[in-house]
Amino acid sequence: MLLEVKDLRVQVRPEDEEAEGAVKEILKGLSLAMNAGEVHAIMGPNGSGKSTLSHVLAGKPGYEVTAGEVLFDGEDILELEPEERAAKGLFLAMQYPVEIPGVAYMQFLKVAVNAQRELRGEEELSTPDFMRLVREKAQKLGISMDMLKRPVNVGFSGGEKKRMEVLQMAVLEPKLCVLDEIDSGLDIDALKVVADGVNALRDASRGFLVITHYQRLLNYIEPDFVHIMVNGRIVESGGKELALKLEREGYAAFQDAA
Amino acid sequence: MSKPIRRLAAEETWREALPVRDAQTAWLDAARAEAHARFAELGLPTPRTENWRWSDIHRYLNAPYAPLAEAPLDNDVLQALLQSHLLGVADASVMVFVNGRFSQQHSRIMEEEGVEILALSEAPVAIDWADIAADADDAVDLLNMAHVTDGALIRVRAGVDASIPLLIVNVAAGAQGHSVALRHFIRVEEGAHFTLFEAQLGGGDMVASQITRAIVHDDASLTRVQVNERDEAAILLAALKAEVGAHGALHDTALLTGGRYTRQNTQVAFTGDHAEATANAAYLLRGRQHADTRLKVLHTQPHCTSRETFRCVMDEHARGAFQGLIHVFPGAAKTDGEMSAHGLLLGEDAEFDSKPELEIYHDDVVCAHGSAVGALDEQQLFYLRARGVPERTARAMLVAAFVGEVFDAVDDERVREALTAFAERWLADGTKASGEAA
Repeated sequence: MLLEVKDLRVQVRPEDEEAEGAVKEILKGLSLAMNAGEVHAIMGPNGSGKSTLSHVLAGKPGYEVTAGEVLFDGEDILELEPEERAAKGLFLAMQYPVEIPGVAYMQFLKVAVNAQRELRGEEELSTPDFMRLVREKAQKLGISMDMLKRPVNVGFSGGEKKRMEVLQMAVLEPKLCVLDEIDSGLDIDALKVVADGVNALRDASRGFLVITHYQRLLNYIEPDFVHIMVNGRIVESGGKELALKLEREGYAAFQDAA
Repeated sequence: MSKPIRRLAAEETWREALPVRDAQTAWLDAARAEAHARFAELGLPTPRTENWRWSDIHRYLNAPYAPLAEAPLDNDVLQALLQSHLLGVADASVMVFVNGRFSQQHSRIMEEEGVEILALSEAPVAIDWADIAADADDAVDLLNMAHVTDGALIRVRAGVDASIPLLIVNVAAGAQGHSVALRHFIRVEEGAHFTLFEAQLGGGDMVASQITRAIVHDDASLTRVQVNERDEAAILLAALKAEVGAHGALHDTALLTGGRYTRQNTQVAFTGDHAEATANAAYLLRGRQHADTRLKVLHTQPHCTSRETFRCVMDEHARGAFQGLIHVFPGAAKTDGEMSAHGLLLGEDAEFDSKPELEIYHDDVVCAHGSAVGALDEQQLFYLRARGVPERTARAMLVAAFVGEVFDAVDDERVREALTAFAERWLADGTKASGEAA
């Protein structure tokens, strides 16, 4: 099994440790299992905890896991640092890719690739090999090399930022890609480009966890399984037809189930 | 209620010490004596002096630091310093001043047509083109003048686009408990261009005083890069006083990363229209280091442009300070000035004080200033880590990115790369050093 989330409970830790009243449980016993080669979609209304799930999987600070476990390739990763999870092949494509002035995209990618290789005990990729790899992947996504000379995400449009997330995925070749609302802020053309990029990466050894509000994305990235998430739990799972049902009926029917 | 200001041990010593008499530069004795007398009247600035509000020099100048006469020289230490400093990568003529004295042996001055370079101590009489007089209202300048032993005198003749920069190395080895004073003068004549590098090295518990006066004539330009890499016990009192003529340019960059306490006074005055000046600096400070810059840009002429960019990183208990003023005088129409000072605090006890100011006495101008202070951005840090970059590397990348803007503007490729590489490894080196100490 590629990913197994068992009865996961997560709180948001208040900034001020004293303020106990501020502790808020976001994930309330969430379970999920997926195999390599599968595409799972998680759909849910605002505030259901979708982004929290993606953050907790990637190891973002600020969350407290109070119960449950997350097994990635059979290994519990909750105690691992974000960089260790990345090196093991977990990739979070972010809803809001962060701008980093002063760090060129190419430099960032090279440091990331080689840091992951080092953590895995592999040899560093030489500069020519790295350049070849990036050029090839960028070309497929229609990304100019000029863009890679610019600082990370600075001044990029929403579409460009998401396309660059897909480029990172293509270069880093993770085993599990968690796509957190990769469709947000994209027009239909940009959505197609991003979806094509994702689809090109689909293969038997790689899994995708696609988090979205809207069924529309799933027309382009076709899932094998769909899960409905409400109030911190998966309340219903099924095939791709579940997304269509949701589109017709809305979340209200599922909210009762929660 | 404020405490009475007690007289400093160092100040006492400097008042009592006779101004330097030097057979080689006897022509300077009168000026030294005059500066000494004036300094005795003025005394050192106190924390109540507005220009010095973030530098409690009482904390630092509490030992005698008598002017250094003769010092036993540790040649191994000196060689090690000269071989490994950042600006050493520059392809340049080199003038080395050891413990306040020009060292022919360590210097290498390449001849270039139209460029005159000599040491103050080599001048038998006053040089008519070098005006090294001190400012009668500036105690630190006067003190430097009173005890000056040497310095560099540079003249670039009209129309000469000098191809060989000059690296001035001001190094102390075995000067503990003393002070040394250098005065440099550089004159870039009409239409000429010159590049100057200044390195501050060595130290121990000592005070290095250095004044650089620069006169940039019409259509001329001077580029200066200064690096303070002194050791963690040293005190540096440095100043740049520059005048820039019509259509002239001054580009000044500083990296302050060494020393226990660094005080940098920079003053740029435009003497002609359509001139431009940039004064940028990066601080990379840790431990209990303290660096403080007082910057004044005097827009006395119309159509002049100035840009001041300060990016200051303080780790552990370090303290950075910046006071900058863009002063637009009556008649300085179309002045375009922009000043920004940003502080990045890595340690919980680190501190950054910043006061960018505008004083504008003419209507038709565009001026702006900004200041910000904060910690590393957690979102950026997570983004890098989520891509596999270890936390320590990610932090180092963000620190280097923060100061990168300052170094990007350095034209000399080798120097720019050396500064950038230094910024990239600065954080990791510090972690390593603290780890070894513990």
